[in-house]
Amino acid sequence: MKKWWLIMVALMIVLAGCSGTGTGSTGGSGGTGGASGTSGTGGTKDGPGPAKDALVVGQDIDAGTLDPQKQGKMPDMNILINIFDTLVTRDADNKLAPALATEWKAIDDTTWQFKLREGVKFQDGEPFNADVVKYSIDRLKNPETKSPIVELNSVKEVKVVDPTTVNIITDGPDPILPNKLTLFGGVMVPPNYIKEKGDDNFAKNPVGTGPFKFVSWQKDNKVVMDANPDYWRGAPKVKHLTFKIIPNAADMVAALKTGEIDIAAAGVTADVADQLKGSPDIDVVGSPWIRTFYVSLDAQNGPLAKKEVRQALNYAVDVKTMIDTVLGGHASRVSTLIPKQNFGYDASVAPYEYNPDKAKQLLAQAGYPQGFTIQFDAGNQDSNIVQIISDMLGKVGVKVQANLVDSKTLSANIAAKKVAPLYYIGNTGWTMDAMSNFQSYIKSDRRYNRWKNDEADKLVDIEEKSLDPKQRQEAFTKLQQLLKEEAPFIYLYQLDNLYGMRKNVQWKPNPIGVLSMYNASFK
Amino acid sequence: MLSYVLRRFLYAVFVLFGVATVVFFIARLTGDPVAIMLPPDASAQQVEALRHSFGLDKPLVEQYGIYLLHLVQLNFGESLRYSEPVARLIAERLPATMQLAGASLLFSLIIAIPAGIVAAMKRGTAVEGGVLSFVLLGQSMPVFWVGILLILVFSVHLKWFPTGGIGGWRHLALPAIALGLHLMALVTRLLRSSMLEALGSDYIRTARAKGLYPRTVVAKHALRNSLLPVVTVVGLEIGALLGGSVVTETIFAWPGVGQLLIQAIYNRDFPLVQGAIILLAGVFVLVNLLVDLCYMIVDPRIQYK
Repeated sequence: MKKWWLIMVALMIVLAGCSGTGTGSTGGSGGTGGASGTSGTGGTKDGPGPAKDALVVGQDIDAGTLDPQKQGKMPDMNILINIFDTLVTRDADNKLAPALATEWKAIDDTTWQFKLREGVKFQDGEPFNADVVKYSIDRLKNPETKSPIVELNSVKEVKVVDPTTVNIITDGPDPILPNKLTLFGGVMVPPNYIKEKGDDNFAKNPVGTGPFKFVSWQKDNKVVMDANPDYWRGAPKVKHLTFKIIPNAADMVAALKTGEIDIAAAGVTADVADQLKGSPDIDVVGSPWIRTFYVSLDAQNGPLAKKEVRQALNYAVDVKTMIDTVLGGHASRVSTLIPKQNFGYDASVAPYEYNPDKAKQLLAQAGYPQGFTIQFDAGNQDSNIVQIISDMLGKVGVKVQANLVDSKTLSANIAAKKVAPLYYIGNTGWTMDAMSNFQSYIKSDRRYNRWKNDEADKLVDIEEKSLDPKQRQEAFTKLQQLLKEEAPFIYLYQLDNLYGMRKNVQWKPNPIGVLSMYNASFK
Repeated sequence: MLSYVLRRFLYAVFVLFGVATVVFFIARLTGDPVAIMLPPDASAQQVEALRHSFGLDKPLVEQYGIYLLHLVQLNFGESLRYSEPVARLIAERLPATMQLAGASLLFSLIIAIPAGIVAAMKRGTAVEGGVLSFVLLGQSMPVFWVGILLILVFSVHLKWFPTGGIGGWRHLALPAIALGLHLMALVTRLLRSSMLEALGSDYIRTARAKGLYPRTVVAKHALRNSLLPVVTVVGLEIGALLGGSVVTETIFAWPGVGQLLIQAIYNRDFPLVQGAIILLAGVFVLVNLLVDLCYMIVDPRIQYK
């Protein structure tokens, strides 16, 4: 009897040991020997496995629908951008570049004219032309579509000029309409196919003009696509593309290690990246991302209504240490809400320096020499960030009570204005124009605004309505100076996007973070 | 018998009505789905327009009335995120969840029944100690931990099974073990103790005394009488298997009702949350009823009037 117990205990220790090497070791002998001979073993029996012409991308969330006009989130867009094309796209340097539209210009304050590419066909043979553009945007704007895509709200009408020319007419001036047509709202859908097959069928068997043809979708498992040999840019380099849905981060890393997936596009956080470093057949690829993070401050109530207090909080947070430690260096400091890559960013506005003494002095000046106590809301995935910020604020006398909730609850609370005076949030201005970064926060009538300032309102009007890039840049520069001075946020950083990639895969991430696999290939 | 079943069905309807009401109001306390669906740049008008098209701008009582009226017609509504009928979405996922629950039930019983019998018969020996400590291990490890452990050992290191997803039996093995481990432990312990009780009873002594084969005594007399509590527990645990599969499905990327429910809750997809919860509750109620009816087969002395 006693011996049996001993054996069981020994077994448990062995089991625990296995798990330890699996997660912890980076180049450990035990795990690596087996891992080197992997290619082709993992999932060859289930469809297009990791053979040389079949790319498998792991993502944590599945698309809700494959109708590109009924989705408004990145996970959906990541899959659909491989089946569909947009009017405008971005080149390797992130500049606007021709896609289904070859050129565009503003012909007056409220009219953008687009010249369209000739000879493009949908995957079912339907031709692409100006009528398609009109149909697509009309369908998007039709309330019956219930589209969650909102950025084309400025569009009043689409006029077909000739088969290769359309005029998009806006309510007021919209300086960044072409930027808005690079993703969601810019996707072109096939009119005849949708009319024939119906919306429901289109959402399950999408047909686009894109580099890959839809094959099958098993919800929350995988979306399978084949290369479109007739793609107008030329066929993609891989023959098959699969998006595999893996919600659990540990499972995602395991699938990458076994070669079941070639690219892990989610779940690679800074600590996971550390674990993967030194792995013989996996690269961790970090790429600058335009998602900026900050702590929103309720500048209308309590101690935060005083500018000195808000400035003090900015001086109190040592962002560089945060980046070097909890974020493993995979982030860069920003001075306001705008990432460095976006139009409107002005490098001459320097970020706040770390200066706790100055913070204490400003707090005393504002009438809070002993500090105060304040609530701080954040998503539970960011607990370590919240902890370090709370700690730093505590050092200058601001006692923080943190409430962690799941990220969707946080967004619901923010929208319902049931959120604490401090909350931690990120924003991706995927149009790569600072207008998107400011849009919902700065002007006093916007949904998430918690700081009212007349000058800011005027400046937002200029950058949102002027078609003159120079005038807009001036407004953005002034806005950044004003935002720094007034400090309605604690400004933090823009994160890097981290991907785990098998070493035989060649793919270059982009700063928006969209998973377009047209250029992906195997070495 | 028939009137008993009818009466039970009537109770079931009341239970489901209660569940439907509770889930309706609790879901609406958790926030606005439109606020989550739309990006921050949406204007107030756009938010209102989408809320209107989902019927979420109507007074709560009116929404509740419409919901009940639809429920009576077995109409669960349309998912906000998938824009598809809820019943169809659940029906798509149900086979995967059933497959997983069935496989883990099979796995747990195949191990637990022999283990329980052996442990009872070898009472006081090292064999019993071994079985019981194995069982203790199975019962004390949480499913999310076991799941990740199994993936690391059998997928990453040994490469016997894929890390997740659905496919053939190789995809099924690890999640079924992870999910079934707890039930296996429970049934083993239960069967062992009720076998011990049966083996010590007078009728077993009589059966042995009249010279029956030991195998017949155990299989026909002792086991059959020990199964009653096992049937009860297994029946109740089927509901837990379906509910517990929420965690297992997420770990193993298994596309079943559990994952659907989790995503629905994250997205505040009210119609889908309601449909899935009512379904899980319905399964629970139904299995309970079946368990009660099964008693009659296992123990002919039990009769329902």
